[in-house]
Amino acid sequence: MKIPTKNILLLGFCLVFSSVQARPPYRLQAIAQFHFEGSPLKKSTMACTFCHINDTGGAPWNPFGESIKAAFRANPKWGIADALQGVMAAMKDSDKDGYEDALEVFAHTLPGDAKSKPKEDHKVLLERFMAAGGPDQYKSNKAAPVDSSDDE
Amino acid sequence: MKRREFLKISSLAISLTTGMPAFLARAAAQAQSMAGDKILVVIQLSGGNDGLNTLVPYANGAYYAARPNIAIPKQEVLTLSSSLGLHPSMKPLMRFWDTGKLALLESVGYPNPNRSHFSSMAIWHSGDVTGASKEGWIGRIAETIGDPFCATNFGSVTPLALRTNELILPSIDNLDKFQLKLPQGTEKAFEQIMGLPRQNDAEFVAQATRHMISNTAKVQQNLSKYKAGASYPENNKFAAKLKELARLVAANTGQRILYTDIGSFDTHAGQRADQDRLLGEFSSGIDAFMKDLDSQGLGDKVMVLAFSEFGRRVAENDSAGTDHGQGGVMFVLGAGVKGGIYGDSPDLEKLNQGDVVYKQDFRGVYARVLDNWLKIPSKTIMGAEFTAPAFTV
Amino acid sequence: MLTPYSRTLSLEDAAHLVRRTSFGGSATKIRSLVGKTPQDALLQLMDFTPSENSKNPFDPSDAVNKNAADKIFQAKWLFEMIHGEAPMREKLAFFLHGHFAISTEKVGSPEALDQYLGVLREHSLKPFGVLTLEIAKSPAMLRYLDNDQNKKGKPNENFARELFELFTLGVGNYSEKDVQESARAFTGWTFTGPSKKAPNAKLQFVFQRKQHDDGNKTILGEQGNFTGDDVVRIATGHPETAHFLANKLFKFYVSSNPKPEDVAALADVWTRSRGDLQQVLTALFTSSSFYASKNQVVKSPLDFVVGSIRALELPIQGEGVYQSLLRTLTGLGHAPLDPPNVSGWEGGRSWVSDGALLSRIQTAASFTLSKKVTLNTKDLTLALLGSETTALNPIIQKLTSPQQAYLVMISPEYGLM
Repeated sequence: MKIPTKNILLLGFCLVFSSVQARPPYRLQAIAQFHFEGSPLKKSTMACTFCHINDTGGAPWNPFGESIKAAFRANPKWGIADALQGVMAAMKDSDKDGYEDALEVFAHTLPGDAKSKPKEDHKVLLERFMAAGGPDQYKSNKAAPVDSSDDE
Repeated sequence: MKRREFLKISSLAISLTTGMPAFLARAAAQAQSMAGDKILVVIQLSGGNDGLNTLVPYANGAYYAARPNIAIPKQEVLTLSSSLGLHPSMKPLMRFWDTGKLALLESVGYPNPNRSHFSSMAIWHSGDVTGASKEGWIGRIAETIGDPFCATNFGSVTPLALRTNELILPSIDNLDKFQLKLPQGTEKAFEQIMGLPRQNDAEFVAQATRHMISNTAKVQQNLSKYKAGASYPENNKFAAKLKELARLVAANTGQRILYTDIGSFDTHAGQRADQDRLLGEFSSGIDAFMKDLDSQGLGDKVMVLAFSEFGRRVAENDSAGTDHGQGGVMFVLGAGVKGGIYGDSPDLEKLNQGDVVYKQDFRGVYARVLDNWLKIPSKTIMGAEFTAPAFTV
Repeated sequence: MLTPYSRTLSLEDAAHLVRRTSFGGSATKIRSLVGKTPQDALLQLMDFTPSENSKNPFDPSDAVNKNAADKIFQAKWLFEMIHGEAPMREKLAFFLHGHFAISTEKVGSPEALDQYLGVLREHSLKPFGVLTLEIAKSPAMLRYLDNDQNKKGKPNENFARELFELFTLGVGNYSEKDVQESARAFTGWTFTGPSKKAPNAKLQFVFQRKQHDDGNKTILGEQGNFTGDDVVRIATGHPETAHFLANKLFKFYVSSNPKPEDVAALADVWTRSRGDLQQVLTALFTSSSFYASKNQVVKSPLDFVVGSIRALELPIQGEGVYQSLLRTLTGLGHAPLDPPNVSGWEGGRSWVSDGALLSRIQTAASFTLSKKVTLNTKDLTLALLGSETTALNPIIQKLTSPQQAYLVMISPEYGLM
């Protein structure tokens, strides 16, 4: 009796999932640090397109992802939590849609895609954002989840 | 050998799939394991540890040129030789270096390197460089010597290294879980329930329950004898796992190989933050573990072997991180080790697709540990002869 | 012929039927079946028409990656077992899943898993030959046993072998030659599905005529220019298959030690109905042997988890809880869609070990001690143990309801069903 191999093989000639996926620890940290509710298993909680161009993750990155990468380069001793915090504090508008990254995180739109932006008036949203704590609400607690070595 | 037949070898083998503690009870039952009392602790650095920032070629300009942001500055390196030094987070391991108990193996890998975590890890676990085999090298040891309790994984899921087609060696993640704690007020009723007359399958389950209760009591009795002989670093999950391993070793449960992991070393971005921290946790954990064992008089029984599924790309990427590479660094430390740096440092001018070229086959490292430390013929386990420099005494 | 059970259902009979065939149920549910004939009671449970629970919150298409999709799919099925309208269908589908085993690890597609489970649900009361052919042609099974790679001149024997050894005849009832010839008959089978060029293509079986070996074959004594369909027909219609499946059904549903004459009687029903699963299961679940088999099956981890939740009507909600239940099941080696190997789960006494018993006790504590269990002792033992008057009742009745539930769940009696 042959026991089937336990490899993760893609179905025949089907495009089921790309083998490239968002690095789970980074996405998990973003979900926690940005206070996104919902199961981390779900795309709807935070899609890979939050930072990447493709919804399977990997290269290339969207403008918001590029901002995070630039933060890493500028601060080589930063981990993902620091980088997310730093990018939020910079109050930059990575995708140039008129809404700063932190405001888009607050409104749950995509900060790296100009086609996705908050419906709310900028001024009103900014006031709500500041009242909720401003960029400081995305400060890291340094408890980055790193033990996910079983994920591809 | 079919799994069913294999199970008959040991009367203690009730189930290998559910992390049972019977192997812990074995010591109390005075059932001896196979000959030999040397223990190997295998540590998996999951995610692909960057070898160049671990054993740093601090005299090599090409290293600094390839890594403008994340190279370890020369003045921070813990000098081992005129060209190499350890990452500064690994200071707790320097005492092993100074006493000749730390061996570092350069450019370890295998032919036709695979850059997928999953595939490369499977190759390291099975020792089959084609990636086809589903038989782990430690699982094969268990089958060869006929002792399904000779090795244990400390973690939630048994890795391929400890599996074969016929068996899955036990995994445990919490020794304190192995006890029955009845809520207050229910003890007497439980005793009465257990005392009811029964037949057939009901009696079988009742017997099994009584066995389990007595086994877990023995386990706790064994473990309660342990008193930590060193203080383990706080907020360090890896060190906490090693402390549990020390309890197992101290409880004299007859295991020869203990397996655990630390990670994730998959440092695609912001490598310095993550790897610096992880190498620190790794080093301080091992330092405490070996101190603890020394104080119990068990230090000369334990050798530690650490590996990662691959090293990383020589050049940093544009996220101050590194991507998946090929050859990496292995550590062997503790009893039975002849300290030193083995193998040539990677030639950073001659790369294979941007990666360090492997020079030492990892199977040779396994083979030497098997033959010289565990005294188990490596050819039987590895299927062929493999060699490595003489890093053992 | 299996002797039919001639009485109307007592309270204990009703509890037995619900516990054994339908993942258990509340005391109220059990009481509603008392006084019915075995046929009527069964008909009520054997209604497989309800669609899946519309409140099922798990959607694998919203998974962020493959790993997540597998977990969500497992949770989706678990939800259906716990909250679905047709628990007997789900339990039967689970039995058939253990029989026609596949795993998420190799079958990396939620769509393929969905189709596979759909076949198990929709065809579980049809003739066994129909069910087996549908499963054989499901992309999940084609992939799992490599029958999608089976080409003329390079036959892959994996599926053909397991078809005989595990799905139909059982070991010893076929030759290596039968396997080789059958593998040739299956050449040309594969499937198509979404690709980069056609992302919306349907995932489905296809027969590649050019890859098919249309030479003559001899299979189980029959000769002809056989196709895969023919092999499935020959294997499922074989007398040994009737016996092999009758024995397996008895072991799963009735007793770990079935009487040979009972198995022979059920095989007889199988043969005369040409493997019609509705007739076979009806004969089994209305037989006096079935009703005489109370507490003769070692409870599986899945029955322990799902059955306890249903019996106690625990409010299980939220994805975190489901993932935690799945971790428990994985630890106990019984997570849906993750069988230990191609032969499914062994069952019976293999479920009993130190580690498994401890894990059950810890699960029992988490289900009861801090929960709002308010059932009285009679309802509790009826739903959990199948009777209002067990030997445990006088021992536990003075304790609090959660403590009672806990003690019942950790008793040796609860290790059976």
